[in-house]
Amino acid sequence: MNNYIIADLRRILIRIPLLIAEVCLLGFLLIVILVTYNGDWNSVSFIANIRTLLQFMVVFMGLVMVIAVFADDFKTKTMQVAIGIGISRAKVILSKYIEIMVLTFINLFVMIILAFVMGGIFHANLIGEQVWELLGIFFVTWLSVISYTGLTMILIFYTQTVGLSGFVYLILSSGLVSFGIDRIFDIPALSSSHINMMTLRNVLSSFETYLAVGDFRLKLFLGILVYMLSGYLISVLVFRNRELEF
Amino acid sequence: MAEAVISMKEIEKSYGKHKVLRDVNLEINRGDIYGLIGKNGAGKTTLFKILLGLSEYEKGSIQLENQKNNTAFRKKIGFLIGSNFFSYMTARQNLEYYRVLKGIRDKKEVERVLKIVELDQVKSTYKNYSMGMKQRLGIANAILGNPDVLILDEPTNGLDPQGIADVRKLIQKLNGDYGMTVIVSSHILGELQNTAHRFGIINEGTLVRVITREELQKKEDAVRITVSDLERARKALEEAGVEILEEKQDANSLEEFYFKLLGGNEDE
Repeated sequence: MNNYIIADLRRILIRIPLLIAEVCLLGFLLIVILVTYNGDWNSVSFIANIRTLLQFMVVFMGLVMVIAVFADDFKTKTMQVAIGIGISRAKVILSKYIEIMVLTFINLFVMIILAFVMGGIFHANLIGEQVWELLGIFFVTWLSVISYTGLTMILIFYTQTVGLSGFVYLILSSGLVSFGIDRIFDIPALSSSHINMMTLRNVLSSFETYLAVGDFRLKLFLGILVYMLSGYLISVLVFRNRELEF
Repeated sequence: MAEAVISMKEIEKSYGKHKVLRDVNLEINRGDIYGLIGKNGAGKTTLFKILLGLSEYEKGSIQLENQKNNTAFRKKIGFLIGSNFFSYMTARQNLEYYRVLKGIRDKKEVERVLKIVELDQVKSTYKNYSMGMKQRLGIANAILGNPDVLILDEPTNGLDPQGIADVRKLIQKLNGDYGMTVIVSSHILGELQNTAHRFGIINEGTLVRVITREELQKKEDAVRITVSDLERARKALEEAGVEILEEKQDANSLEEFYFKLLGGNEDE
């Protein structure tokens, strides 16, 4: 399994369309920082801007990751080769999930560096707690991308294509599903159940809110892990007996 | 007695209500070049997929090299089924990817197999390759890591006569010089006849007949004149002024044998 992950990451990281997409995302970050800088920044407004920007990044970065990790594989059917040489289907799925985690981490790490550099240049003057708050925002962004991808993987491995799955990722990560569920639970008969508070988006949002004030809520974090694990396990179930074509 | 490296017993497989493999018993001996013959949809690729663990089967058993753990032996199988390469990468880059995937530590392995299939001088990316080059790269990938068993599904598909002859020579070299057991499926019966030692004929999911090349040499329904004394018969023909132009052992071609067994003819 480790060999599969290493081989894939080496292949993906030299992919020019991916590098272009990464540069565009970084460029977008840079432009937003430059455009919103009005000469009167402080650390609070700087962090608020980064937070807003990263909410968009969950959508676009995640989509880029899904395409980068899965698209070529289904076209060339390299998963079939991996299974043919003895890697189990469960490990193939886990390998892909780990690749998403690693690539998203690399992306966000570069963005963190860029954010801190830009903050320094534009005198955002972050103090100790605010540095941790900013790191917390990036951590939740990372969790968001990989947990939405985990759910999307169910469809990816069921259909063995990326097209429709990419669209589903957009719907999930943009908050439309959560928005719909929230509206349903506005109905008085349902509003007291608070089930809508358990949607992934609301759990992530609550976790981030508490983290911003230095409060690591373990239950909320475990809730996020449950979503990630569920995505993985259901993907294993749907992929287990799928016929694989050459 | 030859050692069986692959033994499939009573294998059955269906897609929904359609049975694609019925009671298939297949044994591949070490050192064999085994030709699997059948028309489209006969079950050849399904059989390969089951061997590689890519498809489940409902009944039967598979034993690989008499080991209990088939997964471990699967690492010793190299295969060419379809085309599994990244169009934006060169031959070297594609094989390097698979070298890492297969956990082969020796970095020189890629150069070694590229030289065997004569693609070591090619610099362009996969999307610019001819069919012959693509098939040769597929074989190179299959032999990466020096597997014990090679499964080649229609390796001569889309190739010109020279390409077909090159693949034949390569298979014979891999079997003869490197000791690989080869299972090869093909539509080109004449070519397979020159390549394989044994032939399994599969039709509508059933392995109808297994025949060796030696058995194929003996034509079953040839007309023979049996004489009590061959030398006297020859002398009698000479005295009668009948010239014996040629004397040879009568033999089947694989193609004749196949169509005789399953019906149809080579002109269809």
